[in-house]
Amino acid sequence: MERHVSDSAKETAAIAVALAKRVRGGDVVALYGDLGAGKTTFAQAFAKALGVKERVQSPTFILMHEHRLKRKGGPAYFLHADAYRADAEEFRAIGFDEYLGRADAVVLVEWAERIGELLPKRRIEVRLKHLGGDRRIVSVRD
Amino acid sequence: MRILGIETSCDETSVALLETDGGIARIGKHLTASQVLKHAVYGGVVPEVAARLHVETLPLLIDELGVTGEDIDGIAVTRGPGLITSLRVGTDFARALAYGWRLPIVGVNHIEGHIAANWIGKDVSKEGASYGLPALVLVVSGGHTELILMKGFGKYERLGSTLDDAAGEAFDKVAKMLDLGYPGGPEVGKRALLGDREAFSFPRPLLNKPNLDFSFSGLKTAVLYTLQTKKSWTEQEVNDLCASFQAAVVETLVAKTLRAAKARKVKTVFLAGGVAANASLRETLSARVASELPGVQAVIPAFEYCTDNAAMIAMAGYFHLSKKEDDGWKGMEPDPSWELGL
Repeated sequence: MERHVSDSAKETAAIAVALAKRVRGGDVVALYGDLGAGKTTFAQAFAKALGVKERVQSPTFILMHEHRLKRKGGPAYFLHADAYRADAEEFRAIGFDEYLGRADAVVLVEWAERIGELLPKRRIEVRLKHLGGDRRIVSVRD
Repeated sequence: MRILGIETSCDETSVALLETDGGIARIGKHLTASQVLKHAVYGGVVPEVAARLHVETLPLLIDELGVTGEDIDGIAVTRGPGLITSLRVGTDFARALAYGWRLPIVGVNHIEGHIAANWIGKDVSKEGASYGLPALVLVVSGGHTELILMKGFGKYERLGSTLDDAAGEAFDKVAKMLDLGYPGGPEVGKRALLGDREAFSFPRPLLNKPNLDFSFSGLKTAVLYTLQTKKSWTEQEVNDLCASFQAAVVETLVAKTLRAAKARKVKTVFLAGGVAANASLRETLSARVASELPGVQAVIPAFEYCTDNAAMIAMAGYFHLSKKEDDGWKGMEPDPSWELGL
């Protein structure tokens, strides 16, 4: 497990970029952290580094958003999901589990604790914790 | 022309019958799940989960509406954006009706529906009869924050949008931090009426950037930082937090709307979406358009059309069906991330 101290959005983004550089198709990134912990910053930087060109808006309302990736040799899809207002049953109903383990897709899910039972055992866990001020602890476990 | 409208993009199941009579669009009957279910099956109690079960409620609503294929000239159904499962129920049901009744069908963009709501009860004999075009639309809801230039129905250009959270989502999340429930956005708006908008100084994200985009994720975090500065908060202080947060959101939304309206020389400014029910946003937008944009009309929707409803979908459908558009029941598929004007 890696632990980082971040003192700015820029630093949180850099940790996300480093992770994006080493994920492959089939990987599932589970994001944990309370409101204001830095999940948006992390997810946006991660998506951009994967090759998402369009803006990455919060999928809280529509639960998940499929982005196409056009980088040669890389995965074809980035699925950005957000379980803030959902549960495992609802996620199954929208077909979230069909993306898991697909070799052509990288999945990142915010509020992963809400759908724990759906997530594969082999996953990358990212935990963000706000310590006060601009300081955060970001831990990444492969 | 008579059109059946069906809306199931999110939590609300709704059907409506629209009729144009002498060029005026009127809603004949308009039913939402919560109204009918109360009488039909649940004996006065409507479980939250039931409202989501469009599969069960939609046939009941259509039955209650009492229409058959002979009564109508076409069907309009929300095709996106929204929740894929919810959208699929509505579109598949509508396609089955179109097939069975041999009627034209159009898939309507939910946001276009919110815009079209402003034409209900108005002259629709030709586009631009009731409102001057081009128009600028500020769309604000739990899932959207966008500035859209409208040249006509089906002719849109997105000028800006949120880079992260939607404005309504920020309201809901601030409500959550303040323990005001979820979705608690409307409660934040209510409390704001009792608070001092200058009590706390929150950032106006991107206000001084020349673009027409918004960002509300950082504002939400700023509220959180303020909350963490002490342990307990009085009712009045919570009201002040709500008022100060709301002022930051409203000021940003209105300032960018005015900037876009000036730059694109529009004749009308529309407010649309769930957050259009927010009192401060309604008042501030009308007042500032009136004082700073002479000759431009600000149109604030009736409260009943701020929430998701099928009347507005039927209204938008009219502008397509009256031009003989037909998506056909065969190939119509829901599109959960359908963006207007891109």
